[in-house]
Amino acid sequence: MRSEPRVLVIENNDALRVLLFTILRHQPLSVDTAAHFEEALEKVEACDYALIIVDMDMPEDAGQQFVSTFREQRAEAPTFILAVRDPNGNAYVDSTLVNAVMNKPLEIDTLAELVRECAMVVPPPEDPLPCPPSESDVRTKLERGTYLEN
Amino acid sequence: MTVLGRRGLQAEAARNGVEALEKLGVHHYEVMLLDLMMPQMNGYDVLTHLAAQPAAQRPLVLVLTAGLEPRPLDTQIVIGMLHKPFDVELLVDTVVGCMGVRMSAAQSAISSLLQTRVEDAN
Repeated sequence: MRSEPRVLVIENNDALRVLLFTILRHQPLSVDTAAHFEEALEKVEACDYALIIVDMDMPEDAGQQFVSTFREQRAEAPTFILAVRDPNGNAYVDSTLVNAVMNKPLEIDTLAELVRECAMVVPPPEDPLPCPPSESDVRTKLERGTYLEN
Repeated sequence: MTVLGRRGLQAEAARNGVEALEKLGVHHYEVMLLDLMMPQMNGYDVLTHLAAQPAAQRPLVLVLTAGLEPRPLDTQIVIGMLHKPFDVELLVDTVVGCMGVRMSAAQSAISSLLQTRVEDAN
């Protein structure tokens, strides 16, 4: 049986990152988060993601840097990349490297539906990385009091 | 309000922007669900008032929308939008997520304060 598709949220805004995590963890997904470029690279080196949501408004063009680095290092990965950006800002989005773009403020229901559907259609990797438990799985087990049992 | 109440959240309602600002002047709210099209004072005017407040003192705003908005929204104030008719579960998850944002911020502030106290004590 295929495990739940894994999603990574890269967002430096604490409020938006926590909000996206809370919403997506209640979908049939495993969710991780990263607050900056380096943390995001660590996460994608350790795990295969069906979908990555990346904020393009992070300082020093970190969103675009991440997308370029990821596509270069993992050219074979079928990962769907959803870029989010402030339409009033001047963030650069290379449309050849991302699969879709959503403007802020995010339409939460559209985002949840898009993420769910996209994550489901991305094929699982043939030789998957031995991922650690996702943040959403850990949180769920902590809430149920079963984290230490496993 | 009923749905939010069942999840243990205390919710209050305002019929228009004027009532909303009156309530904001009396109470501190963590999250505001804001309809843009309201009589007397619309949601855009409420957002303008909120923009004048310090970020830490204003609620996180979720805009309830029926479609494309005629004016752009300030992404520093509006954290997200939800379309009518709502997916109730998603609405609740979103509000709970916003509450989590504020709880995380409060926990960070308390941790910093405790750290400072410990350092002062040493």
